[in-house]
Amino acid sequence: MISRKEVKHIAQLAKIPLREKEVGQFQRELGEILDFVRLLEEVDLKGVEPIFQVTGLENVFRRDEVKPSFKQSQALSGAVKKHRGYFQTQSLF
Amino acid sequence: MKVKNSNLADLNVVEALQGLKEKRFSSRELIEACLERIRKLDPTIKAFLTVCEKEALLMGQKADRLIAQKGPKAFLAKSLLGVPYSAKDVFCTKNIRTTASSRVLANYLPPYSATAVERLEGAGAILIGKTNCDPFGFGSSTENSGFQVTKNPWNLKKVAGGSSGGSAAAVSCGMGLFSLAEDTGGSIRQPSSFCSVSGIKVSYGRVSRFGVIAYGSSLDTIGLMAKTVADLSVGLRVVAGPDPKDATTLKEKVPDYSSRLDSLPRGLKMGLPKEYFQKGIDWQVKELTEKAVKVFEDSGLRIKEVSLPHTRYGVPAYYLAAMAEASSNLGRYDGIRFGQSRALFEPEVKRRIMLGTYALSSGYYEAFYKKAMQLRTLLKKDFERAFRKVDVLLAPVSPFPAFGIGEKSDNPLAMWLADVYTVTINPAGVPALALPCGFTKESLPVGTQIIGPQLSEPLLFSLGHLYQQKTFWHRKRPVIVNSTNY
Repeated sequence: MISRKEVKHIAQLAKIPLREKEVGQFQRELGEILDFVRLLEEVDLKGVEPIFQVTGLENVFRRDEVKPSFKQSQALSGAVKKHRGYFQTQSLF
Repeated sequence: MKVKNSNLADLNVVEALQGLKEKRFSSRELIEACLERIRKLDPTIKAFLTVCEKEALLMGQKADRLIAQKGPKAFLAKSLLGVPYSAKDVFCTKNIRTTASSRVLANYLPPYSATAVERLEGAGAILIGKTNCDPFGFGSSTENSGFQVTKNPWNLKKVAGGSSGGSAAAVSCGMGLFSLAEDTGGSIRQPSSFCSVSGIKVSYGRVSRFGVIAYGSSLDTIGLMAKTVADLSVGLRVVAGPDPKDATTLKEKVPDYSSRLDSLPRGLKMGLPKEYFQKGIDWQVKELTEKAVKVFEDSGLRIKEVSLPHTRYGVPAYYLAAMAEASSNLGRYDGIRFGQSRALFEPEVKRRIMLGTYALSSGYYEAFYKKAMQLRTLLKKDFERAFRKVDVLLAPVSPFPAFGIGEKSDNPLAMWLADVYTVTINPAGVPALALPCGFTKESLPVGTQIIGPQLSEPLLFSLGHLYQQKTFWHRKRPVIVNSTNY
């Protein structure tokens, strides 16, 4: 079972604002799912290499050449807040 | 003989191309027929989030002008000229609203198009609209969509499947002649089966993922849904192939799939994974799958039982891997550069992000994500071992046909367990072709899937094409469509 404290901690790591009543709901659901995935503990994984890339491709390079990309206006087109060609965010300090 | 306008939407891609070449109808008439279907049926079905009526008709006009100028030669450079299609709303389409079916992207206008979309446009295909799905691909029913639930055209009380439910419903009703979609854990195959259309989940890396809203980057594959395998073979040729913008695309040349449909090697062996036929499978799905096996057996294939021993660990391994990758991918929705606050994420999206974050967090990485990646090696080896004994596998897509809307939506785990036959395929990176294989006594569609080794799309297509010449399931249309023809 996962604690409310842990749920809040994960939500904070994942930057997902949660309302108080959502904490209890996710506590239940996450707990159930985590119990289910413990099924993996049945398998003997000694000596099994993890596989992250299924086609075996490695180090796919391209030439380091500058090519045209977005115009500034395109790059900013989805911005909630803009300021003189910059994305505007909340202050961190 | 002039084809009645409203019936044009019931043509498949190959028939439509033939008709356009022979000038029996125009691209504009074809598009208008599909738009008419959308107008009549979509208020009920709710397959579309955005319809591009003006743009599509304009492109249709351009296509007609090109055909008038160059005649059949116009189709040499543009193999899908004039054919209307829909795209799952996870494909970025320049200046056309793209939401991933999430409220976080409710008004997002991408400043660029996905490579797959650009390639289809280059081949003359015409985008008619963006289809509803589960948000970011998270779901198996479209019930998690931030906007609407897509109804199954065969029974409006049932789900269309997911996550590409909108695409499947659209294709089955002639709201566009094919659809561009994406499969990470069954998202093309399961809705294809629920809605009685054909769908291809390609080998990982066969089609560029550039411009497709990412779910699990080591699992996502881009594919198509259409009325026939022949249609899929035309479409895949257009979108497949290396892309410098996606470093995971395979360098291998793309075969001319449609020209090879009739070439089937002799002495093929088809394996039936015994773990897929154990308890939990609906008896009608089992029976229809066995009937499908018989068609292949009667066509000369040798049928053998094989084992994929790690199948039961497929669901937890897949979900851990997918969740972890998704939590990382969805970190980009910061509500600063685009999109809205993360508080607006749908509940299933929040659930998966948090699970993924947990699985990757300090202290848990070894227990969860690393284990999932190790299981992945075992799943891949299961398939490799099986493909040393047989050439392809045949399996059901879903343990049951389309379930009722609301039936599973309050139990996330039950929904996940329903993916048992589809999720083991993506971690191994192998391709699978979903085909309609019959209907239950309650008139619900059932699909089957043919699974092959990496890059075996030509073989899957040939087998699927053979099946569709010996059966007629794929020719049936939902009753609701008949109400629009008069």
